This record gives sequence, structure tokens and C-alpha cells, in this order.
Amino acid sequence: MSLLKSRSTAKIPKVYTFRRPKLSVLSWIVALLWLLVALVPYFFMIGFGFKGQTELFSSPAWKPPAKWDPVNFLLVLQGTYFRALLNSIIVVVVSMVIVVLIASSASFAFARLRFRGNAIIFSAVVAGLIVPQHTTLIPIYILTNKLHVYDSLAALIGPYVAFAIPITIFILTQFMREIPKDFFEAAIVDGASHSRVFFKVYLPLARTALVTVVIFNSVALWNEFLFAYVLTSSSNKRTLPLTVFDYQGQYASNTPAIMAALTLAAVPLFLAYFIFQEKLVNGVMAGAIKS
Amino acid sequence: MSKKYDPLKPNFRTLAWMLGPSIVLLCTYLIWPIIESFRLSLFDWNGLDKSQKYSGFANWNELIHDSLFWLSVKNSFILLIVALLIQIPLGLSLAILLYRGGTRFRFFKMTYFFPGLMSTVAIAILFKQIFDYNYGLLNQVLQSLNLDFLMQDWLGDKKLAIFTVALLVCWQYTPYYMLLFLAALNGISSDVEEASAIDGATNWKYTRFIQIPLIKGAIVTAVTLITIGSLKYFDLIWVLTAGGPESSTEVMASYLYQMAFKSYRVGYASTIASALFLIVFLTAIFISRATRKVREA
Repeated sequence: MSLLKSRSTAKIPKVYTFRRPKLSVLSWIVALLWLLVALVPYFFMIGFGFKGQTELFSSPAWKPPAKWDPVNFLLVLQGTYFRALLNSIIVVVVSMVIVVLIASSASFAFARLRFRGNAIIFSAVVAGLIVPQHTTLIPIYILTNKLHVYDSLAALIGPYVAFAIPITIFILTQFMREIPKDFFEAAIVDGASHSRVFFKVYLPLARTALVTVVIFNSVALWNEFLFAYVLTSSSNKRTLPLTVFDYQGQYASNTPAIMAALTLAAVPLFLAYFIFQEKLVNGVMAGAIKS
Repeated sequence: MSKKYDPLKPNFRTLAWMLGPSIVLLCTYLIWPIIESFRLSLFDWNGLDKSQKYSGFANWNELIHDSLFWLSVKNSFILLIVALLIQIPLGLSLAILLYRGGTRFRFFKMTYFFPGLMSTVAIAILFKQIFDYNYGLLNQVLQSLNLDFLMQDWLGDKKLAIFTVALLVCWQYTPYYMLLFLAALNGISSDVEEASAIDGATNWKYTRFIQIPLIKGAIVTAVTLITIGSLKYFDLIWVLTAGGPESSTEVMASYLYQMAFKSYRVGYASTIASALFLIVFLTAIFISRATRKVREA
């Protein structure tokens, strides 16, 4: 291996080596300044969570806590935190499974099959990207009540899936169009049905795009507020962002407890970010770039 | 088989199971609600009564003369303009900085994205504390630096509050556009960079005449996303100010929510909802027309 490497570089003489420019002092100052802007609120939040209830009035906000006391964190963890965490996980996972199943098959049809109205239906689906959730809020609220699913996790699945469909179909269709047609033709010649080609050839080949859409949608749904706010009400049906919102009323006089709750609520996404950093960022970006 | 056999043509059952579920869900949760909103906008209804009283275009007439609605439209556009003026240049500068820094700035690249990771609700609650007039971090830091004259009632001042909100939006979303631009910059072939270096282009000239023109597409994408997104803000404002003080930070979505779920004027709220849809829809068409040249180039 090393022999191969040295031989290959020896064959191509390097005439000119390009080097990234030196960084000016100004660059470093700007870089550190924005670092401060991006991080200080988080330090403040975490530090505040460890403070005593009266420290807010007795010492300046920028001072670290006099005593690092985890009592606020324990208070939040004893509340509905884990219930909310579980609710969020259930809603996101169920929605994602449904979205992947129904949107990938539709994408396959849009990308590879010939039927009347293909292009028009596809543009109509993609136009769904700009529909504001707020416009649909009242009718969906009425519908949810009629279906007798108000104040349940099931109430959230419908709108979550529906609003994830346009971007998912858009990204997956583009991806599937780039899978060589030969695969499709070869499988058909071998006598496979369209459904079989989808399940056995296109779905496995679209794996990377599926990862992207799942990450992108999961982050969006994990933080979703509007539908969860309107379609649920009891504390054991709330997702994580709503539980954080409810803490405001619950701990109105105990600001450090609210800050502890915010810190704990941020933990899952930050953990995901540290584990899958590149993938997560690419997923979030793919959603942005493609639209 | 009498007709010419077309291997691309699916039979009806295949097509139905592949497309059906997506289309049914889109019709139920996107298309029908839009139509229903328009229908409800023609009724006087509190959302509770069995009967909906038909009132023609009375709601629409009221909307046109409702100064609060126009204030919320104005505020939505203030958010939009501040977002465009700050997020694009700042995101671009940070992206170029990270690009030049390369692997030396890996740590910065990781941490710069932090503001984009927290849920909007959590950000709103956190900054409510930071912007507090008496006990907030911002004013206390200013005070300890002897910059008392800069101290403001960030969220309580009627004139200032909407701009405070707008800046917070920038704090939250700039990292996304920074990464979008960085991805575009990384997509430029290194040959271009080497060639321009040989030709003697300075850093600044390279950025100005090569990099920025080459990532025009990404900039257009960012402008589109910021514009559509700005018209739909709700979470941040609802938690941070609930539209106050005295409606000075009211936006279309928060006004709609107030009307539907606080004042129980569902018919009128549906009128706002329909107007919001029309404004977003027309803006989207306008943007796609205006940027067609860049996108096709």
C-alpha cells in the first residue's frame, strides 16, 4: 500500500503547491467574537440552572453560581421530562416511518413511471412546500376534534407527516432520477413488476437520500411547536418543546428551574449533533439547498 | 397485447398504492384546509356554535380596514428586511472566514452552529431572561462595563421590541445560511482558486470577483428561504412577547392565533389565514419570477 502510494506521487512532479492563505489578526478577532455571540447564551443558561432561587436578585447575571447546586435539574427530572422525551421520540419515529414509506414510493412513481399528469401532480406536491401551517391550523383543529383524536399523540402524526411529504418527495424524486435507468430496464426485462423494482432496486439504492430526509425532517419535527401547542393540552401528551413551554407557568417564580429545564431539553439534540455532526449538518443543509 | 407495450406504464393498482397515501394526506391536511379557510372566511362564527352565519365578504371588508392587521403585515416585512440585511452578509462573511480558516477553524465550525440546534421555544424563553430590563444578562453586562447609556428595555419598549425580535431571529438562523454558503464555497473547484492565485489575485479580489459570483445560486436560495420563512414566524414571537407590548410585535400568524383561540372569532381568523396564504403565495411567485435568470444561468 505504501509502496503504491510513493510510486504514484513520484510519477507526477509537483510544479506548484497551493497553500491556503495566512489568516490575518482581524480574521481571528472576528472568529472569536462570533464564538462569543454563539456560546455566551448557553453558558448563561447552564450556569443559571445551577443557581439558587434568590441569587437572581442578589448577584449579577453574568456571575457564575455561588454554589453549583443540581437541585433544579433534579426537580425537572422528577417532573414530566422523561414522559415528554418519550412522547417526542414516539411522534418523530412514527411520523418518519410513515413518511419514508409513502413518500419514497410516490417518488419512485414520479421519477420513473409514465402516467398522465405526472409532471403536474409533481409540481403541485412541491408547491406544498410554501403552504403556511397557520393557514391550515383552524380546519385541522376542527378535523382533529371530529376524528376524536384531540389531545393525543395520534393527533400530531397526520399534520406532521403531511407537511413533511413535499420536501421529502422533492429530494427523493431528484435522487431517484439520477439512478441509472439501466437498473430499471434490466429488472423489468427480467420480469420484475414495478412494485418489485421499487422495493428491491430503488429503495435500497436511495439509502443515502433516505438518511438525509430522515435527519432533516426529524430535526424539524423534534422542535415543532404550533401543532403540538394547538392539538394537545394535557401534560402527559405534550412533546418536549411544549413541556418546556409549560414549565414557564409551572415554575413561574423559579427562573433557575426554567433554565435547568431548557438545558435538559437541549441535551438530546446536542448529543445527536456530537455523534452525527457531519451527517446532521448535511441533512439539514440538503433540505435547504434543494428547495 | 394489442397496443404497443410500454414498460414505463404502471397498471392502476400499482399507481394507486404508490401515489395514493401521499395524495390523500396532502389533500386532507394541506389542500382541504386552505379551501376550508377561504370558506370559513365568509362566515361569522365563534367556533363553538352549531350554526355558522353566512356574512359574505364582511370579514374581508373588515380586514382591509383593520389597522392591527396591517401593523402585523408591516412587522412581518420588518422581520423580513432585517433578516435579509443581516443574515446574508453575516452568513456569507462567516462562511468565507471558515473557508479560509479550513481545518484550523474546525472548532469554530462546530460551535457556530449551536444557535441553530435549540428549539425556537427554548431560545425564546432563554432570551426573555437575557433581555430582561432589571435582571437580564445583557443590561447587567452593559452596566458593569459602564455602558449604562446603551441599556434598553429590549422587549418592553414599543419602538424597539420588533427589532430585538428581528435580531434574535438572525442569531438563530444565520448559522444555517453560513453552512449553506460554506457548502457552496467548498463546491468551487480548487483549480479556480489556484489559477486565480497564479494570476495574482488577492484574497479580497478572489472573494469579490470569483467566489461570490460563483455561489450566486446559494445566495438566491437563501433569499428565498428567508423571505418565505419570515412571513411565517410565530413560535419565537408568541413565546417571547405574545405580540406585545401593545401589539407592537404582532405578526400575521400571532394575530391569527389571537383571533381564533383567544377571541373566538374563527371566521375572522380564517380570513387572516387566507390572507396569509395569499401573501405567501404571491411573494413566492414574485421571488421565483425575479430570480429566474440567476437560477437558469
